[in-house]
Amino acid sequence: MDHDTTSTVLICGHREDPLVEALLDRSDELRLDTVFVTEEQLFTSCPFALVRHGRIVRGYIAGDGRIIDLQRLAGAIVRMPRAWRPSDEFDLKDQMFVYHETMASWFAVLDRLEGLVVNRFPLGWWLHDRAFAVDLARNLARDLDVVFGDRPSGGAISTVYRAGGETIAADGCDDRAPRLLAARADAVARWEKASGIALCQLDFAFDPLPRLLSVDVTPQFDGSARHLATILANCTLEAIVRRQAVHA
Amino acid sequence: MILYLGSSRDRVYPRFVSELQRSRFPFAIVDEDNAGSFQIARASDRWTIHGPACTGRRPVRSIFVRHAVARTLDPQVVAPMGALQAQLNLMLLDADCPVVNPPSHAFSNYSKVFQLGLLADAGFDVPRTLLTNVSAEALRFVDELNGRVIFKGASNVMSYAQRWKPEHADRVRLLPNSPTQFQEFVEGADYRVHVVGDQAFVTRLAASNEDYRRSALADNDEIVAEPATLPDEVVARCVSVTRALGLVVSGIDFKESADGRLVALELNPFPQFTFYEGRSGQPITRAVVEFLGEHQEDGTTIYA
Repeated sequence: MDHDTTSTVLICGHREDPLVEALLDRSDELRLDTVFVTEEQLFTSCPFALVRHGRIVRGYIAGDGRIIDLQRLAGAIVRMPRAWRPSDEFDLKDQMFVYHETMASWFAVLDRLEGLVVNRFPLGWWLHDRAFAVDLARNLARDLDVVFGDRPSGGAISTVYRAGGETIAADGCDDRAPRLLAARADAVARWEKASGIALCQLDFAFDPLPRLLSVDVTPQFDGSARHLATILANCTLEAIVRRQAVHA
Repeated sequence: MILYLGSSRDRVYPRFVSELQRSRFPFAIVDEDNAGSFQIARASDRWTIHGPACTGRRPVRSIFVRHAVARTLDPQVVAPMGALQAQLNLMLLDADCPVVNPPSHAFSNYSKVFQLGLLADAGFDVPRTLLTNVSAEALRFVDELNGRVIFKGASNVMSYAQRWKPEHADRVRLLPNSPTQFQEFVEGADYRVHVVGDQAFVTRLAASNEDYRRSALADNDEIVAEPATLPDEVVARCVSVTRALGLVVSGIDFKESADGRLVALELNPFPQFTFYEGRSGQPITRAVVEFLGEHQEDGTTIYA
């Protein structure tokens, strides 16, 4: 295998995901070097090594026939469905062991990437902690100085997306949520940095005061929302390119 | 009162409850091994716990958490325990009182190599480490360190550190199936530092095995544990890294070589301190109970 010395973007997901499809298309248009791997490939057939010597950490991953130095990865986009399980050739106890060893290892590898990782999921996500999403949303609501949680009765939901530091309104969303986020842009940026979440869907209600209903860190873009995937892919890749240029 | 969330089958439980009784601090217990007996409910900003000895009326002013581990795959046990723990973890997000330790802050030792990075960033010396699923990398690492290597799991699923031996060279072909952590072998004394708030208890251990836990748990060999000292700056760093991770209690493992090199190996956010206390005589459990008793908060959202 060749050692890749150019800057590369790692995309991990599945091709049926409209966002992944949009990322790959846009990467081609931007002539970005990308390596695409499925979740299954990442966990079962991507060699890697991570070496720590004091505070110095080096390593590589291999994908798509190439070895990529971790320091040459400009960014990574993680859209894993978290459906992978070890082979049933292992007994149940070994499956559990292999699963956790694999998750713990890849979390450590992705954590060491210096480029923009979208999303840089904390361990609560990797561990399927049910309190993770609640904690994440509560922190954002606190930072935005809005109420968090379900409201007593139904009503319109204002959906916006965050990607690459931008706010993108879903179809039919009025300007209240975008204006709220723009007014508290610094707080949003701090939350994104602290949480590692650079791409998400935010649902708000205004009844009449703003209320954060939920944060979805793996928003789906089927059906009528597919065109949004293109916009979010563009914002995400541009953010990776911008960050790489700043740190070059 | 103090609320204990955990398992009556946990080894810490008997000693801890005994110390709670001695302390005379009012307390209540949610035994997660009896998950079906407890109901957790939320109304407005108030959480209530009903169950054995939990009336949902007494204000909870500090909480000790040591979630049970299901010792079976039986869904009739696992499902209610998991559901109860999920509810408790949501409740703990709303706790306005000290929680020892908040589960949401205690994930770092799930990924050992990740946590080693946190310890290194905190200023500790850590062993040279390789995490890999590539056989050639493992063999190269072993060769660079002249065979003075141990290997162990990368996650917090129980595994014992093993000293590299030539016969292990054949087993590295299995690495693509499951990544493994390799580390330079630091030969010397084992230390465990238990942090409780601003306090620290240093314990020195000696056993026949490179992983003293194997001696005690698997081989039933006796291990020697005695109170010890470490440099003040190391102890202070243990306290500060524990606090920086959002924890009150931790157990930090060290190795000290004959030439005085002290390396940090890992931080356990739910240390089994009674294991050490029972051998060294150090009053760690009492320190934890006193912390819970003395740091109780008046305002509360939880009633048991």
